[in-house]
Amino acid sequence: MKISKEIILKLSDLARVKIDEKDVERITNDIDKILRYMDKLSELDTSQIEPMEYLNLSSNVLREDEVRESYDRDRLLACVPERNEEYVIVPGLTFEQ
Amino acid sequence: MELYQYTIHELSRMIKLKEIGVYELTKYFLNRIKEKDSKIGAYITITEEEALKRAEEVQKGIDRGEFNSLLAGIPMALKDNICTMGIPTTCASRMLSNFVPPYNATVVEKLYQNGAVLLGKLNMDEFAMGSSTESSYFKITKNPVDPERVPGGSSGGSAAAVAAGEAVYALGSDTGGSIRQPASYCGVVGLKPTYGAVSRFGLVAYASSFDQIGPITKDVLDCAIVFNAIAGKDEFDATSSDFKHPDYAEELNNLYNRYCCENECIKSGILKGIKIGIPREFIDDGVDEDVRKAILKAAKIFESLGAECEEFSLPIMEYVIPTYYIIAFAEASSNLARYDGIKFGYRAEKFEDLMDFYKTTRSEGFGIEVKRRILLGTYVLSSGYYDAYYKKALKARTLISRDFNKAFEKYNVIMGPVTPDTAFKIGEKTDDPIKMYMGDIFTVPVNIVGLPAISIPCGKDRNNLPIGLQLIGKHFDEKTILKAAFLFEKVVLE
Amino acid sequence: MSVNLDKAKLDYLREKYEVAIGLEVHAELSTKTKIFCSCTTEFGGSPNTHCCPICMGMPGTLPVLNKKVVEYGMKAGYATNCKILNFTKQDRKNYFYPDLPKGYQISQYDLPICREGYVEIDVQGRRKKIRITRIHIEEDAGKLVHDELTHRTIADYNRAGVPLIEIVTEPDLSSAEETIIFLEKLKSILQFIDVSDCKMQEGSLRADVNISIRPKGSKNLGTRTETKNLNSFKSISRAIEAEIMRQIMEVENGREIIQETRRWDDEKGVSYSMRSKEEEHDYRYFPEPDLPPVIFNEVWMERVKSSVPELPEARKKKYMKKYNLPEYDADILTSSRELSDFFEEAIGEKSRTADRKTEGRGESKTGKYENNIAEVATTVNVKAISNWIMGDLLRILKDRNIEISDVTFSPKYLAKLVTMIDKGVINANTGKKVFEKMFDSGKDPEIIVKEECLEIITDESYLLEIVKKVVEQNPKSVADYKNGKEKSFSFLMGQLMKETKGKADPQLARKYLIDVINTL
Repeated sequence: MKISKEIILKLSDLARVKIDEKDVERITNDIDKILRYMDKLSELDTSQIEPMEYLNLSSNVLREDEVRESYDRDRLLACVPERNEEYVIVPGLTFEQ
Repeated sequence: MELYQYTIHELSRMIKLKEIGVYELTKYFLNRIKEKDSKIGAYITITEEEALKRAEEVQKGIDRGEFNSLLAGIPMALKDNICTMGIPTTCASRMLSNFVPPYNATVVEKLYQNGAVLLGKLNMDEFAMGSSTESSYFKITKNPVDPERVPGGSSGGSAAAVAAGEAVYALGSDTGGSIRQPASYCGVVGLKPTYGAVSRFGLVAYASSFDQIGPITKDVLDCAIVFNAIAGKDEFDATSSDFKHPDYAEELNNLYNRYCCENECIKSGILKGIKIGIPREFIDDGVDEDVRKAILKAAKIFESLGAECEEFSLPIMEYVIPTYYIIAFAEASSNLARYDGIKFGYRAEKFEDLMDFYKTTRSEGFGIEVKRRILLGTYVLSSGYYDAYYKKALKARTLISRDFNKAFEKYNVIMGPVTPDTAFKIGEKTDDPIKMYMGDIFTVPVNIVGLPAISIPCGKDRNNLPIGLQLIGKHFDEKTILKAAFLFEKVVLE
Repeated sequence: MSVNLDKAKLDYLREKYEVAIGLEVHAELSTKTKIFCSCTTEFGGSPNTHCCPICMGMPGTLPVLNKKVVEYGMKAGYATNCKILNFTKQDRKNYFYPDLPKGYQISQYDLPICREGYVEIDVQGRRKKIRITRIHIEEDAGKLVHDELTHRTIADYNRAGVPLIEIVTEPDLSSAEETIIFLEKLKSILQFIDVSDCKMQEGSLRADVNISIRPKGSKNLGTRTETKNLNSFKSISRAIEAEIMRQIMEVENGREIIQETRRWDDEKGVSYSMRSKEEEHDYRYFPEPDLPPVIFNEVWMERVKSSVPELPEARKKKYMKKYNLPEYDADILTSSRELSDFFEEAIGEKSRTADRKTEGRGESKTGKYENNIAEVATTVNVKAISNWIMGDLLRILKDRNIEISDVTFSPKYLAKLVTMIDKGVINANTGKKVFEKMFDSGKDPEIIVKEECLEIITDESYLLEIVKKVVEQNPKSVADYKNGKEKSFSFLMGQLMKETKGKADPQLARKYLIDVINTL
């Protein structure tokens, strides 16, 4: 089954990546080709196989509940594209309440 | 011999004996970068001012006897996906072109504690996604061996800088071969440590369950010295392991003493008991003839040192590329979701609403390969496709791990080429992503299973391009592959 | 739409349908630090000052799970009769929103910490079991604020990474009333086991409500909607009622219920559909590769289990059975863990060193009085202590707008005070005065009484002397009394009390006053 243009546009929304109208076809083809290549895995019989979710065998790597000093705000927010003294400014959102 | 050709262990002795000062050495490398880098393009950021200041401090420290590390005063550089406090860390992406982290990666802290001097940040494929360093937003890095060819990737800047003598050593990161392949293409040494051996804190994530930081150096001893300094458990990385490790450099020095001083009989038995397996799939028809010959020649050398070499079959190799890429795409699509133009990084100027803001920012901030992988990752995780792709790949991962672990019941080391061919021409593969992905066939299984592997030069092909030999070890058994690589290097040099 | 319908018609329609309500309750855990970094969870800091590169989701940073969060999750499970899974892991829930720094929330998908529990509630004299589907741990998001000045949206990430538990119930609730009873119960449990302060006004307890209706007798559940943005019990109750009626009217008018998320507008009393492109979610859950799984062993599970205190219901039963308190008292005393603990300490049910948060309370350092405490506890008047707590103590707390945790005197002192009154060392009026002084100073009531000479005057010669003085100074009242004016006697008693600053033993004083007048 070939990947449809509709799926690519849905992915574009989900992943928040804009695809220009002129590129849709090319990207659809690229992605379809790559996925067809990945389809090779369907040859493998994995019916009795557990998925490998963790690479190493460690578990319970936990932190104690002890407070450390937070970062200085100006230092932390130095790379924010748009901010005021205290807050990060969010573009494109009209507030509903 | 010129200064830029010296290794860490050689320069360290010179610094100790006061044959050269740290400031002088740093200045020398900065000058060399100025002179060479316009042709190579290894660096994204050169930290001249900081480096010279740091050199003076480290020299004072050395004079006061504060450092006992071999890395003290040695100028080095970092792949630009390793966070450096107060110094831009761009991942070679427009998205992070103005990002200056307020923190250091754990490996950077560790190198600083060892007295390292940072020369700058190195070029790479954007967000480490690529095998040629051609997807950098900033520039294309050229292979110092042949400037018409790629240095490999994604740590192409790291390998090129070391090969061109623009840094004594560098750190790279390896997600699917990104240290080993460029090391191989540029004729230097690169180590991809066991997953969990080195902290990932401060390494900008591409595929979290594959990523590892490792050294790119001029020789194997340097590799061991740097690995010594960066390995170990980190409280800020829950996937880092608390493993006991020897002083790798000391191990190699001891080995060298034995190798040099003992008689021929011992020399020829120095790797006795070591069994090396060569998967047939690593040397089959898909592999360049010169590369295959070089690997088989390497097998002979190991046999001359007392090791036992044997070919064996590893049919699961057919599935490693899809397995690797599906998991990598999936993790990448999630790891790169934080680049939304709100808290840091690139931000689009023209947009309609929040949705359009996100999409425009990310579309303008990321390059084509990154976007392709994000879309693919989103697809393989989305409902309806999860089982067929992502979950299937995790199951294949189980099978691949099983087969490799089974092979390691028999062999101490698995050996093969790093890549099926040598460095390719710039632009040769950029239009065909699958062709590019296929080149990773021998490096990705190591990341899928989380094993350590080293890439060392093992000859040249008909175009005089370096060929890389890959030695893969058991989990946390860097010691064995370092030893084997070290002895191989000694024999080749003789 | 429903405005035009009269009440009878509404009731008729309401009767035709059965309602199934399920909840997704989020409670912020009261750990000191965030779930994946060591920033404080304290509420109300200056914006973006309780943050670090980790909770801001900056490149290259990694999460490390807070052990307390895991244990609090387990505790919540034990307190709600859940099974605790011995293998649990974190997953990524992927979606974009400006309050979510990483572009994904670290949550739990297929292996939550707890599953299959229940909470019992009492509805109109009937017990009802509300099944808990699962409890999982996850991180909270930051807060978006509307900037009045610039009319732009601004973000504060102090809350980002504060640990939450999400408690999901089966659709076992059938009305707004039941839902509120359940939530009250759940709240008191979570407060009792000390995993959350459940302050709705600070957003530390939030609930999303899933509602469906079906014709009575029908077996299949109807299509459900989810209502969000409910920040008080009152708005939850109103939103449920409104949504039930909205769904009934849809069905009555032959329309289908659409599975959707709705946003409640408490001011207007209506909900709006949130269907939009941005709400079309496919969360693409997958195992969080940065965090190894958590595996519980027996010892760990046992330790956490034993740290779960006796729950309010058990305590209530105990107060009624063991101490013969009326249900009314038992209800009030178990309305919060703090109050219940205070009561139990006062009556000697529980040693004060056994548990938390009592360190702050003032305590006399003079060992002399400490020795009496045990003795007091064994003979204590439980009902009187209950009265004092429900009466004077709660009144002062309310008047001063403070919490039980702000009380500086030891609960044992309340028992002492009651015993002193019972034994006649002071009278009831003086008791009230001593209580207030004790509340303000945290001092031992015995010391207060001694220092201020507040003991009842029982000394015969002294009392007689005062009586004589009062009689001499008020000849008219004495005469009036003798002429049968009972009121005058009260006046004389009042004078007597005034002279003794209220400390005269009233019975003795009365006897002497009558005696003295009669001898005249």
